[in-house]
Amino acid sequence: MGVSEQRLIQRLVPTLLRLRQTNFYRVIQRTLMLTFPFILIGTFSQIIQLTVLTKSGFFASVFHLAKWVPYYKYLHYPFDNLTNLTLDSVSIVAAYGAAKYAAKLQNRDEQLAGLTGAIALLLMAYQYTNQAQVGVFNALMLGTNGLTGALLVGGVTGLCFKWFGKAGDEPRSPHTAEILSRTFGSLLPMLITLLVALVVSLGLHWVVMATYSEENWTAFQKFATTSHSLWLTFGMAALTLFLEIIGLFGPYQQQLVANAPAMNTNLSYALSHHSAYNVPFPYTANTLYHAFGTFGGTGMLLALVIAIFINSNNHNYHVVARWGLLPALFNSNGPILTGLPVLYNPIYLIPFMVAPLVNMGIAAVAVALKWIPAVVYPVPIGTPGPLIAFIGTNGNLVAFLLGIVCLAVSVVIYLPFLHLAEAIADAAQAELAREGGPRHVEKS
Amino acid sequence: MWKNPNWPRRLRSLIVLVLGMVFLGLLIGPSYHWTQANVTAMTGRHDSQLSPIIMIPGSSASQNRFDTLVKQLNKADKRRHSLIKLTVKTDDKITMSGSLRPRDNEPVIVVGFENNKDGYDNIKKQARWFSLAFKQLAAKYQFNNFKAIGHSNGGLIYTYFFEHYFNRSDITVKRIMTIGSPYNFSEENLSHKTQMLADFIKYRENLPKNATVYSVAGTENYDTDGLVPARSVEAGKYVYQGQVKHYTEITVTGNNAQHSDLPQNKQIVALIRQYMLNKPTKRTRNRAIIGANAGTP
Repeated sequence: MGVSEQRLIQRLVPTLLRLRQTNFYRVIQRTLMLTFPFILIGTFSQIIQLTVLTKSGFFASVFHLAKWVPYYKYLHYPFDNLTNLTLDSVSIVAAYGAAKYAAKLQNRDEQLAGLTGAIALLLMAYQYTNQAQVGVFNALMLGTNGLTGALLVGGVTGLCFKWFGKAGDEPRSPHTAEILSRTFGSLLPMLITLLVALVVSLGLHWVVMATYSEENWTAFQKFATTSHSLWLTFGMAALTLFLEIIGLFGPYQQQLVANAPAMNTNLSYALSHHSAYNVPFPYTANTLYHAFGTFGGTGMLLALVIAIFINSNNHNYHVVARWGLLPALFNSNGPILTGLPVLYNPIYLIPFMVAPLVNMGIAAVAVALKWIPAVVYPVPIGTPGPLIAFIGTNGNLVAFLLGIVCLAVSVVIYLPFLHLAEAIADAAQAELAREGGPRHVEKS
Repeated sequence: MWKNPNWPRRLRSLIVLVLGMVFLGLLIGPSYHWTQANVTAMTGRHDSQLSPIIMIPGSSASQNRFDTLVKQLNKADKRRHSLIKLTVKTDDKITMSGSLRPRDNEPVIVVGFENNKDGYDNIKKQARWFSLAFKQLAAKYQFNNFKAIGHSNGGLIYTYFFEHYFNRSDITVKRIMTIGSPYNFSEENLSHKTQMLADFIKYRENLPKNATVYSVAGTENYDTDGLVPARSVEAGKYVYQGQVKHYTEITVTGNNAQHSDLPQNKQIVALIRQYMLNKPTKRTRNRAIIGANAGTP
């Protein structure tokens, strides 16, 4: 590293700085910031719900909580609620934020734009049924998986306000008359946004009905999780990682169902032969990707957290990393994804994809050379990343050490990109200082 | 690296990091114990050769309903199947009598209910009670497969149980036999589906895909066993056919083909021996050789 790395960074900084200062990128960054606290609260609630209050969760299994904690059966309800209403509605916040910031840049009524964006997203997520049912919103569109869609909706809402609304600063002394005229000025863009949302919603509905997209998706996911060829496993993992960093979910994202045939075959082989070496399908999503490529959630973000701890000078990074460590230990990457942010961040695209793939490669070699048995035994939900391989091999110490090695390798992969991100943050700060009297100090 | 680090801030973060690592380190021990215990338990179940026959009697019958059947089976089979009886009370409490004889790999287990009344609502309740009994049995006897026999409403309880409660990946049901089970209650006309039949059809996808199912009907004349219409038993095909591995309908006539006599009917006892019991010869001859894999194909 050293000098050459520094030079490379110096070269890249101006380009990336310009990208960062585009309106487009600003809106995304500020919106992610807005969702961050919701995601943080939701993530903590989700961790408690999954690891402590779910029977098959990590703490619940390891400490047999269901057996001795009174009223254990009922304890998860409040946490279910909190998790659902924070994490699973994050996209509404994002649509609000994106529309608000986009409108603000154009000097339009930001509050109305934001609310319109949120409602437009809800309109699109509404599911038409012929029965009177409750809970008819498509959860996929409102949760963290719908973030990209929400940003789009917000952005388009902002555009509508730009094209059809009237510019005007917020009235200094809020007289009713002025507010009223401002509100009426926003009526046209609001109406157009909502009408467009309705049309899109009907179109989406028609597409879903016509193509059974959900079934196709499930079939695809099934295909992905049951594949057992080495190259397919790596390809699917790469696809997952890419989709995740652009805010969509990948084929491995959903927690792997326990009865994937290859997994069952492996398990039953291992049980019959009292050994997990030589199982029929050693290279599956489960044995490689989940066991060695997801420490700290998708993208090995636990490695990024550690990289920040040992080698960052940016105050904000440290704060986010400290808050994000506990979730990352339990493979929840939401806070780091949105807090730094890593999402939509071209700087982190390379390590985000490379680190897990390299780890999978290391693991595949180790399995092929019989250094470790395949990871075939059941692992509780929310098991900390470095312990997954350990538990999944029935306590094989080499597997545990290999997990630590993988983590260290990932930290090394993330370090140069962290330096680049810091250099850009510093350059942005310096530029603001040069211009003097910044209107808003950009969050970095 | 190339700048002066801000030491106090970094120290605080490093403390957090060390705390995190210590926390993780403390979990290694418990994790190790858990996975060892878990794998041992799974191996135990996997290696188990036990393959019980679990029976559910029909409405108004108790856990003693199959005593004669088991006697006849033992006599014909020249084996003594242990007979274990469970009763689930209305408050979910379970009483158990009988015990597993040593070296008996095919015990008969009968699960009766304190509330053994007829009707769809009761069947739903009984299915839940059965699921409790099943859970207890699975924990106590560590079997990895079983055979299911339900007489009359017992077959309906089984159907509801398989569709709504049975989702264990470590236990399979190999064969299911329902004897005179009225899938459409007393409705003779198949175009009039009862609520229960409609529900059975609605959730049929949850039925175990690898089970072989036999539906046995008895008839005194051409269309009834005196209580249950043959067409109602026949309606089982709308539930099982195409959903399980094999679905076979068998109709028994002649002596003792009246609904309540069916479990003692010689023909049906023979059918149970032929289709439901494991073949004894294979087991005795190879007992010492067959290792962990008995029971799984």
